[in-house]
Amino acid sequence: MWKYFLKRILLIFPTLFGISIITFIIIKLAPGDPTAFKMGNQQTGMSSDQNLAKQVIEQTREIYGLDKPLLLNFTIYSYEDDWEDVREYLKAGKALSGRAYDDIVEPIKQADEVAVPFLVGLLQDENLTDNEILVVLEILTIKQKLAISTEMSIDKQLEYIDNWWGGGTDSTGVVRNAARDSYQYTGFQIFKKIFTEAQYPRWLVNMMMLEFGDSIKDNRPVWDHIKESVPVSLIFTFTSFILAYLIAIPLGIYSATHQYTTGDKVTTVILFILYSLPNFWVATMAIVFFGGGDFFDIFPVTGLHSLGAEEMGTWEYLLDLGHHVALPLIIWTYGSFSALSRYMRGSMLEVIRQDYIRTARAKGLSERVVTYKHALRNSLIPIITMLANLLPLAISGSIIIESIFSIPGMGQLSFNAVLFRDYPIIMAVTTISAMLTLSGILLSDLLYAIVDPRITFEEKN
Amino acid sequence: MKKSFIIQFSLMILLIIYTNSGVRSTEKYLEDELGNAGGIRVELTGEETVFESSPKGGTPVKGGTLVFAESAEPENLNSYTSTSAAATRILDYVYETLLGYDYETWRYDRPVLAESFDISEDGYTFTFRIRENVYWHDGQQLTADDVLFSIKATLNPFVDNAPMRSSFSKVVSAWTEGPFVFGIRSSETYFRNQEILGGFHILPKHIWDPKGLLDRYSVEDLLNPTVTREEAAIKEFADDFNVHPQGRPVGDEAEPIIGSGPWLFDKWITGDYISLARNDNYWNADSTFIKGYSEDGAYLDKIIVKVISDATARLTALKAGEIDFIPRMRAVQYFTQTNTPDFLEKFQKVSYVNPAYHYVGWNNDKPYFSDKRVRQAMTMLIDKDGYNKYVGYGLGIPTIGPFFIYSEQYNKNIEPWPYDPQRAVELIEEAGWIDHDGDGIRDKDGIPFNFTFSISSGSTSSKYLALMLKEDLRKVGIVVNIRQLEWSVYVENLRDRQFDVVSLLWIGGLEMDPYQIWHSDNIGDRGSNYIGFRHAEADSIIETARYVMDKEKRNAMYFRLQEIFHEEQPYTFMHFQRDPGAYLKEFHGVKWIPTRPGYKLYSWWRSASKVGATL
Repeated sequence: MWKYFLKRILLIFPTLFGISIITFIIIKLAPGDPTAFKMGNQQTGMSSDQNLAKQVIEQTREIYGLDKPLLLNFTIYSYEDDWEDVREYLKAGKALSGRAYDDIVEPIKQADEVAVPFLVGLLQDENLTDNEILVVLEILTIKQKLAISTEMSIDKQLEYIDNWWGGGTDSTGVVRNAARDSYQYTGFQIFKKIFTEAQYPRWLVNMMMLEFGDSIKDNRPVWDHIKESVPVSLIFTFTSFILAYLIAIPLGIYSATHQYTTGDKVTTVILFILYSLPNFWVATMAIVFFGGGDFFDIFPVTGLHSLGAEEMGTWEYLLDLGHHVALPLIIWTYGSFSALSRYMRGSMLEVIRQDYIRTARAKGLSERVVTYKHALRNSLIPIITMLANLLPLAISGSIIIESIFSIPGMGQLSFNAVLFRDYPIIMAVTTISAMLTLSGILLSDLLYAIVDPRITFEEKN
Repeated sequence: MKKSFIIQFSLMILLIIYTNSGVRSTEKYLEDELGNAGGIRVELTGEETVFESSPKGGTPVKGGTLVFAESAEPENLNSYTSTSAAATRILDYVYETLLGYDYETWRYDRPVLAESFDISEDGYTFTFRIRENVYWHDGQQLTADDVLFSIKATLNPFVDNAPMRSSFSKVVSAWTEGPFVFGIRSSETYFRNQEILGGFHILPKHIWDPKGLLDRYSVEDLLNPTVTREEAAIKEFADDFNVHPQGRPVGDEAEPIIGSGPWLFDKWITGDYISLARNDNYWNADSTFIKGYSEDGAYLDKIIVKVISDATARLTALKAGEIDFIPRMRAVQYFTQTNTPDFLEKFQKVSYVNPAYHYVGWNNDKPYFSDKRVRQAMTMLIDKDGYNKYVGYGLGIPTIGPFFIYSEQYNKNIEPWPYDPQRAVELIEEAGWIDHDGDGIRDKDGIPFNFTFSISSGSTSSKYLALMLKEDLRKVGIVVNIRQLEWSVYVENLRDRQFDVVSLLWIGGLEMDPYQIWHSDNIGDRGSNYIGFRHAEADSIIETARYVMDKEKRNAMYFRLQEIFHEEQPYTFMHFQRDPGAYLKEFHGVKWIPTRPGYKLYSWWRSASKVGATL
């Protein structure tokens, strides 16, 4: 059996790899760019100088590595062909701006340093049309961060490039080394760039070392964000889990052993009603009825602490926390224990009909021993399956309840990250969630083996 | 079995009937509830430039706490790098600027940190004389060095504040002459220079640049790409600045933000609240000599900003006494959920004007909307008043152009286009859109008049507008498809001009420069002229007016511009928004102003009997 589990553990890695690639691609393919938000969610703050905006956007994208190709970078080999595409585009007389232009110029930009000798060669060739010169100058200026402003004349810009490339004295009288020397690459170095100059490999390596990077929105490490939000969601997940199981299992057993009695019927109806009430509606109703508006004032409705909670003593602090947590907890839990108790009931009913239970009764065992020692243990299997979900739930939180009650947990964090296209946080949360799900499944498999001696993972001889 | 079925069924029917009775007809409801729903409408026209909604009289007392709710928490409180409006609102209490709004004339020339200023003959150079009695919250004195430092930090190309820096793109030089004189020169005589140059937060140099990294560099250096590439210290400063702990002073042990303003930064508990405390050593504590302030201010002991993201929770928190003031609630809450006698007795409801206007943007480059007659017709097919009444709860103020209705730039002589479907159809047919092929849909040159109205999925009022339009236009043979998009995708489409019609808000200010949104230079390439408005005369007015320093002359030009907008209808201008809010009646000195956020807590005080009730 342990061989089986070892195999399972080893299988986690390829599964994670697959999950991460798919998640990565899906998220990156979604339209929307975090740079756009940083640059101007405010509508009156945008730069009226278009060129300035372009440079700034490009630089910001570069900081976050968003300018590189998604998976692997082959533009480092194809830039000459890509240049031919650009020439075709320009020959067709199309604009030097806009989406189509950006798309056609992108591959050369992604080739970055490797294409520079080629581009400089083009300029010194003097066979280019005016538009082609403009495009090459723009690519070089933006990617290599040259000190060229678009207000300089073309000749001055070309002169600058010559000075920069070949070395010599530039316009401020300073002697510079030839840039040419720093752009020589060996074949192997270029080959390595296929992997280093691309978004996914870079990210994957960081992920393996658990370096999630910084959030794009506020430059703080992703890990800090997660560290702050997980404990909050954890309070709810764990308590809710314990509460749900504590209520559901006895309820399920009761329903199963007293099937068709009035008690069972009433319980069934109530549980179905509870299960069908949508939690956001119940949350809002709870706030209005119990939060102190026009009706009762039993619970506070926002956040986890009252104002000034930091100054309370430990006992008072915990009481205050409990007071705030009560309402959201109830709403978090009612759905799950309704479902759980129904599973429990169904599973137990099936077990009770089995022959071995009849045998046990025939042997003269008390009803209590039959139910709790024999039947219960066998009906726990579906319940254990649900356990697999527990771990990842800890990290996904519940965006609905958290935003209604203003609780700063993982739900809000991941939701806001998706809205803002904050890739580092999204990827970190998804990866951790995937790892936890896989571990959770493994754990529940282990528990099956423990709980039910019939289940082994040996190979059949 | 049958009997129980009958019982259950009849119970259900009874339930349905019961819950649906008590819903009155819409008209009667509107008659009862509209108007003010027991609230006060803030009007800032004519003589009133500041509107007080609390009863006048009484002596202000120091003390008391105000708790109000924000819907989103700022991610950081770094005044330059933060992009959140909530951060600016909070930092405006802690930091100060050189100049401020004069609350009588609404010019940006009230001396705050600068006790006086001069503009050179040619209009390019501003010289500010800094007050000598201003001290930072940590006791150090504020000097012109701090002002120069603040400008340098703004212009440092590696600091993560590109949107802010773009406003200063024409600054060429800045300097100090002694400890209390600061000078700055721009390369343009832009009419908004005074507001921009006098309106940035001054940061304390000794906190943000303790190593003096920027001392060696002049403003000219920072604007020179050769220098900024070579000098490592410039980048080092920016790296420190972007993640400076002053931007995120979270928790008990954090160093508080040091500013010079009337409120001290107190505490920030993430996800919970941010609190400010009164600065008893504020240099301007006796402010009677400041033009525009009529009395002292900063009476409250503490201001607490609580983060409550859900609107229902906010209102409940107000009713339960957890907060004292909601600056902005939902219209439906204002009109239907806050009308009990208890509520009206305890709280004062107010609706005040926000310099944001709602518009419908027609993509001028699409075949349907390239003819101005069609755009005029579209405007006449939108029942603005009906929309305002039924969807907007009467809170909107109709407008004819992009300039704020309370500003001197607004052309009061223009009448909005009426709701006139008949005349609209005449115009459409004049423009050639007739049903040539008899399929019930108008067409021209083989293109059917069938377009898509894109709305943001979060906005219910846009949805109603789109549905209204769909129905009204169907009657005249035009097909409208509605497309709901998530906000970020919506913005992408806007910038790439992939849309037919959009419905949005622009937020403005008291004095606006139409260049960014209306000049043809800004079409395409992610510029803000999304709808593609091109008009030679408008372009030339916009270009010239920017540099006209004489207000009368400039506004006359903008009046003409508004006439052009009225004629061309690039947008259908809908309404300026009124925000509904409510506060505890115990607060006095509650004043409302025409600049964002609309209220100023400086003058609020709490009646004597409640002083001492703290957290």
